[in-house]
Amino acid sequence: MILKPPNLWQFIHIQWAKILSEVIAQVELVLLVIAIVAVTGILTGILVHKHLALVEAVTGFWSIVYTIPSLAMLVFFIGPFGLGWVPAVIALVLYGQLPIVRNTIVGLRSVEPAVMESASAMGLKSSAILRKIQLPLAWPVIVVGLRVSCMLIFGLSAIASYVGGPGLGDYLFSGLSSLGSFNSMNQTLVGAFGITLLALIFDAFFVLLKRVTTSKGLRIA
Amino acid sequence: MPSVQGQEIKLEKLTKRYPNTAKDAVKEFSLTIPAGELVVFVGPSGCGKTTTMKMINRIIEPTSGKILIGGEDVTHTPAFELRRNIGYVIQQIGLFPHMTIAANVATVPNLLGWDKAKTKARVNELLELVGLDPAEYSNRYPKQLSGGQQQRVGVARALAADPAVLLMDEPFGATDPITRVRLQKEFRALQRELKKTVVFVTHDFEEALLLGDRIAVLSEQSHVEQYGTPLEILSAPATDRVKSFVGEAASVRMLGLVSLKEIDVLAGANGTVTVPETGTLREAMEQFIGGADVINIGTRGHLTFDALQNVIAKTRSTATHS
Repeated sequence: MILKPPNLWQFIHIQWAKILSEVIAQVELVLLVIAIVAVTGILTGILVHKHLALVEAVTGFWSIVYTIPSLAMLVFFIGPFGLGWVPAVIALVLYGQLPIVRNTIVGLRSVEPAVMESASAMGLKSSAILRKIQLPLAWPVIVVGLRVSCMLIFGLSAIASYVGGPGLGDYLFSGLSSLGSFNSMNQTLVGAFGITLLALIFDAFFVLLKRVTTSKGLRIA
Repeated sequence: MPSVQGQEIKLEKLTKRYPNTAKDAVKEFSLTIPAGELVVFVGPSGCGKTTTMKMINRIIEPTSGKILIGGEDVTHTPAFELRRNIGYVIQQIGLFPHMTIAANVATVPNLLGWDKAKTKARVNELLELVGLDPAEYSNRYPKQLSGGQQQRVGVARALAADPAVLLMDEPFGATDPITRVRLQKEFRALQRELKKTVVFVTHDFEEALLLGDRIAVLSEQSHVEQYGTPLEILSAPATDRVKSFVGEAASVRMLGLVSLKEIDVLAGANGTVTVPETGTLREAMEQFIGGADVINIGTRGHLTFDALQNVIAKTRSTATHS
């Protein structure tokens, strides 16, 4: 009797516990990375946005980082940090910087000069201008940056499995590397669809976040 | 809320030199702006009038010179403290688009830590003052208002904490001509009531005539060509530059500035046409052009064309020698 491989649904059913734990690991990884990226990226943007030379230096730097091939980057951190979460998180954090840093800078800098001028003419100190005027006005642009960063991180998080990073990438790669063998197609599909589905859910979350947290005054066309 | 009246502004040798430029943008500008008056800085674009105005609340820091407001030297007062007592209205308005109209107007009261009830009452009072119904507009956002309405909010926001001084940079310049004239007239009436000290920058001489208690005609580097009442400037332009700025038909414009209440008239009602004494010489002149020989000035008396010419000559010589 030839053992027939289970179809996708059966596979998911059989593997459910493992899939679920990989999904959770994947979500944890992405959440951790996006949290670090959000804090560091927005802070970087706030710190440099006023000075054009710094703006160019910082966006230039992260643009260069962004062009490093992802596998090379992941492998690079195996040296000092070994396999597992740490090199994956570091590499993803570095990749995720560019969109959020750039959007924070663009958002903060694109507040109308007249708005900035009247704010300071009314006696707001520069910290208050940043907090009460610039950040709320730049916020929709910053959220878009977060969203783009998040999608980027999802894409690369699959590759992070190569260095022992957690998540559905395992399924994708073990499936791909043994294509043709028993269950390999199911593994690949679970990996690919799983990551895509999670990415879409996160994307929808950011769309919602932008909507809910943007002032009504800015949403009016 | 009783309104704080204007304070005198004294500018002494105010100078602005930008780095890497050959000459001062504003050179040793000295001027005293009396308390409660509206002074218009008028001059061609690039003459430094806006720079000069913006040095008063130090949005542009002077390179040298002194600023005194109400006798107090504020040249080195922390800028944010100084600015909370100076209203500021600019052509681009600069309302905060993410805040409601009420929140925009409440900006400075909130900075000053007013309690909520007081701020709310003040916001309502101001919106009414500038002709916007608080019930309808408080919770709207700037983008939901027309340009003219936005600038009304801009004026309300500048007046919110009842500052002694108001700086206005071509505030009505971006509105359509009909709205502009309406805003100008309303603002003139408002200013007569509030008696703030206002520095008003424009390149529009008509606007300067309409609004100014005094006009400072400026040329390059904010050099004061002449500083006087509209009547003085029209009837006796001090330099050729002023003359060219005043333009044609200065006498005709002057007519519009002389109230029929102030002139000498001939006794008795002699004419067939009557001009109310609340009008100006301009309305009287129009009647003569229309063919009248003698006109009554309200109930004060009457005027012939010869008498009118005498009045004009007298007005001009008074202005010249004052």
